[in-house]
Amino acid sequence: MLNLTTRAAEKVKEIRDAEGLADQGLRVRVIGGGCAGFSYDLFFEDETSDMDQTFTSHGIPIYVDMMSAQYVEGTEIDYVEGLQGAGFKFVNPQAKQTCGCGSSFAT
Amino acid sequence: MAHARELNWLQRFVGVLSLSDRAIISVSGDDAREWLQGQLTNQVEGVEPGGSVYAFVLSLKGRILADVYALVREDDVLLDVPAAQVSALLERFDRYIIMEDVDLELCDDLRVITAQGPGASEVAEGGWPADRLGVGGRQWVVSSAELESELERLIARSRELGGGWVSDQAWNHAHVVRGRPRFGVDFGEWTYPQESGLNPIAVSFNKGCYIGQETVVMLENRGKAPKVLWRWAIESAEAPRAKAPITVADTVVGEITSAVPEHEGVSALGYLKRGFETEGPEGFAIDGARARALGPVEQGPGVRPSPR
Repeated sequence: MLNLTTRAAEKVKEIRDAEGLADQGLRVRVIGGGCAGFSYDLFFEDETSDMDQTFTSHGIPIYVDMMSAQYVEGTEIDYVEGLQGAGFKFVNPQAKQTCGCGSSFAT
Repeated sequence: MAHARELNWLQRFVGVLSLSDRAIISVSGDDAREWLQGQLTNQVEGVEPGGSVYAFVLSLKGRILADVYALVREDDVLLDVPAAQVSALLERFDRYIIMEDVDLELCDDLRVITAQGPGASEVAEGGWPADRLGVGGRQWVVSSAELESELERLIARSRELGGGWVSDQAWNHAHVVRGRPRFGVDFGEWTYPQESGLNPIAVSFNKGCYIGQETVVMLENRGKAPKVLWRWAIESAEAPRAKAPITVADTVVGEITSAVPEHEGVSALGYLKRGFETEGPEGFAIDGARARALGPVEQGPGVRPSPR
């Protein structure tokens, strides 16, 4: 299971509408690399496959392939704004270590 | 001095040899380049087929797991890696392929031949640039069945250029004389990139994230490496043993990693602890013999770009 906070969901909808992708879901993916070993990847997509797990959070479909799912199970995606920038923040209970910018993690 | 002729070839003409301590891993697939960019310390994207990149593979903590020549081809990238690290590297790489289109293959049948020296680029067509001593170099990857015939062909050509075949002993000797550290001998899983002296040729600081980057950047911007590899001249007839302590008065300030006898005295590489860079009135000693610090490896001739 994977959830968006209310703020994150609002931001996803805002970006999705601005880009004219209102019928698309949010693909969450884990890729190898980044300072701490694994990085998160987010993008809009309208296709799923047999390899995907599908969730819905605040009305937004979320697609996660089964390989990535094992690394993000239980993750909450938030959206934060601060003086040093804004962006989606992953709160991943499986991450034992994250890099300074929070975009990569180790398990 | 032993190997004098071969050392002369490597530094003034060209020397050819087969690198039996290196192995080849092929990385292919649509995501191969992007994925490698997250694994290696140097810039891989943008390198054209026929080009190469020298880089490190680091642990999460930023220590050096292997040094790598990434040899770019049309359909894949060949990683020339230390043979002793192949299993660990395959396991490590495999762990970080999630859903990317990346295939790894250990190419048991491939061997590396290299030509090093100012005349290296005239030895043969093809291959990749690979300057392993700071004097210019190229290398070729051939099947084991072709190894002997290709080696003979390249050695014959190197003789026409004033050089010839170089033994492993001379090759190792040349690394110490040139101040070019070797993986597993002078640096390895116990060292950070900044300590090895190879940062200028192995690490990019503007390529984006890769595994182990955070430690490397913090070390570069916020602190200093606890120890750094230096070049040494020792007033002794015999090379000290590996790990011989470098001392100032009775204080141990470092240790030797490799040493070779020269015409007069001994050339060596060894780590000097931070804070002891200035010799002081007592001077340095190694195994009881007076020693002179020639400077950090990073500023020496072995890691400079080819003078050509």
